[in-house]
Amino acid sequence: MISALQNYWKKEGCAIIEPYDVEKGAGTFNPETFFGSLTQKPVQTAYVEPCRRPADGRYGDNPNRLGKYYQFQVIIKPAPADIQQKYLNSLKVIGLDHANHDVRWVEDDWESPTLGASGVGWEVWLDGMEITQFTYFQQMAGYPLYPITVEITYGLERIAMYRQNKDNVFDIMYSDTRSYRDLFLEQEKQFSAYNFEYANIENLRRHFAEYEQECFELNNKGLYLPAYDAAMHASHAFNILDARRAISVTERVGLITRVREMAKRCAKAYVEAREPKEEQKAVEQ
Amino acid sequence: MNNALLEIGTEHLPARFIEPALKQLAFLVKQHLDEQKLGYTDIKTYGTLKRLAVIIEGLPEKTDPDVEIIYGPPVKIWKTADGSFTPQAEGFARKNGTTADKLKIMDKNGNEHLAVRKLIKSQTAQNALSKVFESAVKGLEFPKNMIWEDSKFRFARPLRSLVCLFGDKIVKCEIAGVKAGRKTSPIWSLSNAQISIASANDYVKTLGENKIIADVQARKDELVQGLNREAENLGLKLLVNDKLVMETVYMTELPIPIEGKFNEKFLVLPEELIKTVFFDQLKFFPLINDKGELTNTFLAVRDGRGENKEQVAKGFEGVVSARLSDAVFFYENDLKVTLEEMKARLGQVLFHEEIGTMSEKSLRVEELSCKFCEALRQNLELDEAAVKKAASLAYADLTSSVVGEFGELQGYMGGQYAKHEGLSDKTAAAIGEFYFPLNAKSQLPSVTEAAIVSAAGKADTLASAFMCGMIPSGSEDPFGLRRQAIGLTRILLEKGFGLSLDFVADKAIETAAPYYKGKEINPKLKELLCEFLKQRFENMLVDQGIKFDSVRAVAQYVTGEQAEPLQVVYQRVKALENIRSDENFEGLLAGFKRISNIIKKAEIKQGLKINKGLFASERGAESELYGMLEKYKKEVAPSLDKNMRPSLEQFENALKRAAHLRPYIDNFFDEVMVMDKSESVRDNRLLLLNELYNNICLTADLSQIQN
Repeated sequence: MISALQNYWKKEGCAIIEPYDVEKGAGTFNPETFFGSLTQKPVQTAYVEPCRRPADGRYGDNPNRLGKYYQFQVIIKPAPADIQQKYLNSLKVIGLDHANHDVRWVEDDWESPTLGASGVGWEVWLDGMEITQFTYFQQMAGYPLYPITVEITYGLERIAMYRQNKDNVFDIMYSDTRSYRDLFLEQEKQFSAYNFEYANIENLRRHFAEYEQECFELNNKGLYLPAYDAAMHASHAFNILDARRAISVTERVGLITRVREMAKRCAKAYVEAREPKEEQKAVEQ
Repeated sequence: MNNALLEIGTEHLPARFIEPALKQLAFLVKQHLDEQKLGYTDIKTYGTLKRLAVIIEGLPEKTDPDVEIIYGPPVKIWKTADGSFTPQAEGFARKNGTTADKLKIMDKNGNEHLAVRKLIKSQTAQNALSKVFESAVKGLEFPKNMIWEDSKFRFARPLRSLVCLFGDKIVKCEIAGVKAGRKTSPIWSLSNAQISIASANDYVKTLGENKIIADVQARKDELVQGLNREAENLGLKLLVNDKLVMETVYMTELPIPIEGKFNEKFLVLPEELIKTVFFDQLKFFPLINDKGELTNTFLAVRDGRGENKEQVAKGFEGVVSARLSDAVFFYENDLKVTLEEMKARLGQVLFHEEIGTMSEKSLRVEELSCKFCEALRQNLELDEAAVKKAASLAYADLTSSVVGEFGELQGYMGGQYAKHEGLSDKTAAAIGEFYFPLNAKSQLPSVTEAAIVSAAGKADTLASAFMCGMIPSGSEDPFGLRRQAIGLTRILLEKGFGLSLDFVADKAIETAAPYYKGKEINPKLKELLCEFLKQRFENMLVDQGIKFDSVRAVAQYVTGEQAEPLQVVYQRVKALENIRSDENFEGLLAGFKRISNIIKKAEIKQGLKINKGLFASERGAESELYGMLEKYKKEVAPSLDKNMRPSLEQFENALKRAAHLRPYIDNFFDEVMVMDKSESVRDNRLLLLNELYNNICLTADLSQIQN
């Protein structure tokens, strides 16, 4: 299924790249997407992206929920006029012909407070089940965007469950001989235990502060890429602290703001490096 | 006569945007047609999630030629004393494409002004429509907009096609890089080929041939009939939900119901939970049997294509099963834990930084509920233990898994868990109905105990939020305080609690104050809160059709020194409404106004009593009026004393009796000169009028009544 999608988007002109090797909660965090959506430089890439969401883990007990899962991301800027059709055709190559199914575009305007990002778009439902997030970014790290990037995020496990007629994600056959359970159940168990019970809270808090400091220093030197890595590490530390219930309600807003500030500075450093003459004004979040 | 068509083809619009957009479109088209002087016989709108369309009927081939008169400065500013033109006149002329010497003089509202007569030439309907269509599309406003292409045109979703026709001719128009033509998008699951619209007259028919029901009402009928038919075939009934029906109408172009089933074991879930999963998450219609019970059969709606039903139904069933399984998972988790244990987790849920957590709020609501019980126990049968227990557990379900997932089930789930734990019926009802009324028109808490806890919850939310400075402004009300206030006033009024707004505000603020973590409590807090509640109460009265000046006439009893329980104020205003249309009463008002005018200007000396000896004569109008007043004071006034608990009858009677005073008042003014030369006589007469005024106004402040 993954290679079918990769082939399709390759034919549509996308560079098929590999996932970025820093932990993140969503494909949108991938530097290709984050930086790619800024400035006027065109982008056309597609990639698989593993996503870690500590709070969603269920020790492998819940047939529908995972603490880590795989997205397939397509990022194209500027957004082509017929991108919706292209998406529907991509479903055909993975055996989902929209003529034989109910495909619904349900209003969903996506927002990421940590990235200072927002977009307008839809959840795409196939026979009642959400399989894709389809978004036209409007803002990233506080910058209003132009030209507009379209992001198509496929939920691979969901789609696989549907295609293979399974009602438990662990029953999915990843290959002819290996099931999702074979490959990933132990991961789910151990990481759930870590994220909910054993992660060292003090260490994580310290990591957050240290990455935050490094992020600022690196951005001041114009090294926005390593700075962004630091921001991602900090964001993930936050996600684990959250799963550990170590964050009080009052603290939470403050921490999110700090991550957003890190993202903003990376974006600023990037924009200044690439388009120093264009003064892009950041919108106050 | 010809018809014209404008169809805006877009990517899928949010369902809730469509109806307002169609209304706007009709309005804008009409506005711009009038501006272009293009006559028409009718305007009709059609819309789906992919197209907003308007058809204009009965257009002529050309616009009417017209004359427009543009008025400028008054004629005296035309020339200066020496006969040359003023700069204003020249400026005005230049702005309108002529010279000062060619300006005309025309009359406007009785004054003569410089003017320019502009001849507006006739233009073809097509030209005019070009402008109309462009202006209409650009004038549309949506709750949220986006950009997607070079011109940065803002719209709800990307605009992909424009069909602009006058008869069978294309009208020129270009927006956001899209040029007007006659092609529009089909239902994608049916075809890839664009649909070509031959002429404006053919629009609805052509779309229909391509399975698109463009007319909103027709599509709704198709949906509802289809759903009812399928349900009937299964021997079942549709669970009515207008909101979902309309949402579905706006999410499809050809709605096709499909039947599905789920495992009966899921019916063990509480009813509202199942409904929430179906209506809000899945957007499917559960079916009920003729006893009104939920069954394990549902109807989902597909767009455009009926083929391959089984596969699609299977998909739907899979999703239903997954969602209900999740719900069961959450529900069973919750059943393992008591409400007390759930309550213990409230310390982690913040209400507001300056006043603390929901755990603390729980304590306040419990305390406040007990204070209300204390005030009410003389007059009402109360199960105070139930009130206390329910108040202490009212917020517990906020930390439950089900409410964590389905926020809108707060209260309801608490009630379910209470029943499950074996708490008393009243306690369970009070917890379950804690958030009632859910909106301005819906039901109030059923039993008194529930109403008390609910009122305490709302009063505390209002007092706490106000204390933290979260006072609603014109457009911002993040805590939904208006709704809380409406709910609170409705409970106080309709449950007949003998508590005034001031009492409630006082107790709520007093209870909240120790929890406030800020610097200083606003000394005007009680006033602000009472004023806020008063406005909601007054709006309620006006909504019921009570005249605005009647509402003002009882305003002094709503809050402040004379504050009364709302149902007493309500009786006053109802009495006033009932009596004010009586002939006698209208006559009274006239006399009353005179009294009012005199008193307001004069100085009424304090500490004096009316002296019968100062009356002009024993039989005159003055004495008679005084006699009637004394009678009124003896017979009517006592019944209005608040310890007598006056009701509608007493207030109506008081007003009727006041109306009887009319002829005496009229006689008084005919015969008597209030401002007598003698100071003591004058003061005496003013005193009489003053007392008359005060007594007449025992029911309401009649000086507020306008004729």
